[in-house]
Amino acid sequence: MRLHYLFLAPWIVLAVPSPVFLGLGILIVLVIVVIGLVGTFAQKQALATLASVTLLVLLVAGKVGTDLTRASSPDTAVLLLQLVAVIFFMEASRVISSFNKEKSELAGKTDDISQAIRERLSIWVKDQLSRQARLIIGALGLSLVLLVLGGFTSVSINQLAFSAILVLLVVGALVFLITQRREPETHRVRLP
Amino acid sequence: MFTRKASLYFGLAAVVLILGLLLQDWQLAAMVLPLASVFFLANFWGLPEKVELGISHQIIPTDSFGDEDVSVNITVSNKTGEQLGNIEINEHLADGIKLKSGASRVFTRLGAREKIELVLEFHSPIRGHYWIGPLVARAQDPFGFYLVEKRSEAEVLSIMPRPERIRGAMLRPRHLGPWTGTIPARTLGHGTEFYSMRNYVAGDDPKRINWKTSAKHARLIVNEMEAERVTDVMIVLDTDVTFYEAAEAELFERGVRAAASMASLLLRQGNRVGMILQGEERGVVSPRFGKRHERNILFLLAAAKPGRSLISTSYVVTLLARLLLPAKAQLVIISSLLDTAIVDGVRQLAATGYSILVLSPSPKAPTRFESEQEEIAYRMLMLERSNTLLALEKICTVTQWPAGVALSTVLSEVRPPRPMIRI
Repeated sequence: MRLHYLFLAPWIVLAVPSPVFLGLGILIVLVIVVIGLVGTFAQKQALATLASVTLLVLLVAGKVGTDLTRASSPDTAVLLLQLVAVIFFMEASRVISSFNKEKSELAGKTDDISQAIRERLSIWVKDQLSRQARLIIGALGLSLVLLVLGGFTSVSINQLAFSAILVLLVVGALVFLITQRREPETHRVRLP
Repeated sequence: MFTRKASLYFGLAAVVLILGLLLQDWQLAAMVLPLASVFFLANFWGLPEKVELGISHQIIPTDSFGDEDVSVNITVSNKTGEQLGNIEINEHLADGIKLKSGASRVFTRLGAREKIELVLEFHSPIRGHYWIGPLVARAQDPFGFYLVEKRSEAEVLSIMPRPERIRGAMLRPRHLGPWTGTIPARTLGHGTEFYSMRNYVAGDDPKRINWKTSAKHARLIVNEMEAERVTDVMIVLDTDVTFYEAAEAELFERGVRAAASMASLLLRQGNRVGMILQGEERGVVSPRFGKRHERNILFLLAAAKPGRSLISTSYVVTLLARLLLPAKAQLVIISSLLDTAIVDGVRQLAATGYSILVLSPSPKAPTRFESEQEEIAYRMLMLERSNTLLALEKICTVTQWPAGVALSTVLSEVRPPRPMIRI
């Protein structure tokens, strides 16, 4: 889990045609890998998150750059897989980071109370990672199904009115998905 | 509720969608799908719609003298009929508290209707008030997009100074209460000290007959005792001990201990006792009786911190003593006397008839000085203190408390000032 930057960064950056990143692809990969590994091994969550967010930005920027340079586009499924992989590993690394922080607080404590907390923590981390994996696989599957369904409808995107309606619909659906059954955060909450 | 993280992901989805439509790139626009799917699945399967958590924490003991371990019992229960996979329990502890067992932040899952009990244990910290809590329990979906939070109020753990068992100090205030106590009242009554003799009258207790004097005068003579009553006492702790860094804390803690011990002793003897903290942080407890009141005083002393006072000690003491104490009552001032200005206040109070005992913890001489100037400064300070002591000795009872000497020993040597005879 800690080494995911070693394969994610080259996979995302080097898949984009070299001119998009001005030939600096390898350098960018190195920087991300170094920041990410330092973040995960030194327990610096901010650095690990920075590396993951950079990967997300590079994924989108790479696609935009590909469009602008009119280079050959990657497969859509691969693109989606890359996106969910980055999200999954970013969230999983946060879980692992919380787990490690908690474990270090319990280090050296051999009493029954600490032992019980340690056991609870181990169960929690396994459960949390498996639930994240299940949700992300579910999200990928659902996206691919929706993509296939979308492919059956051959509507031209060049129609401006259609584009506008589509944007409104998608944004509306997103807002619905986020806010359905939930209220906004009313005070500052610190998340792990 | 949905969190800030959810908003950020929403922002990313919106940016991707707009870029996709601007560039007329279906692939880019399709990247919204996984994000929307993650939201959908996290919302509907990540966390139940109705989450009800029950939380409570209990500190045992809530106040202590610092010689026992403290434990915090935390109970968190899931009152919903579904499992909550991601629960974060966070008990905020004050700085300076180091856990011996348990952890202040715990991640766990809670089954349907499950209740868990966690215990945190730590060694008692040094004297002071410590906030324990608030206890926060959060239920979240696996990605932290949605959250339900429950928090309980923070509570105070008080580590109070332990009063020493000391013998009585010889206090002689002119104001006395009506109840029996330990202070000689200069009148006849029930007591332990001899006061006068008189002829025996029928009904007198034969045990009180002074046989030696009766034999001498050939008639029965009985001893009469001096009444012993209670009084009103105000203890003033001068927390302004700006002195010499290393010795400052020791000097201050000695003062706090003395105040606690004096208050405990005087309350045990049945007196009404009040407390004034005078320094950077001020506090007042008005004079009252009883065991519960002793807790109030110790609670105030637990919060005492050394620091230079902004308002003159002299002014505060005279004002509060007159407001809270009856005339001619007793004042006990515990001060290192490093500030010479206190003399004026004591003079004013003595002039209005208050009996005053000044207990002055003597600063411990530093083992070595950093420079010659520092040594000179120390000597000057000690000379000034000596002058203050001399000036006070003319007005009231003053006793010095050297480091390493038991307070009981110092107080047993206290004698009321001899009345000044003017010729």
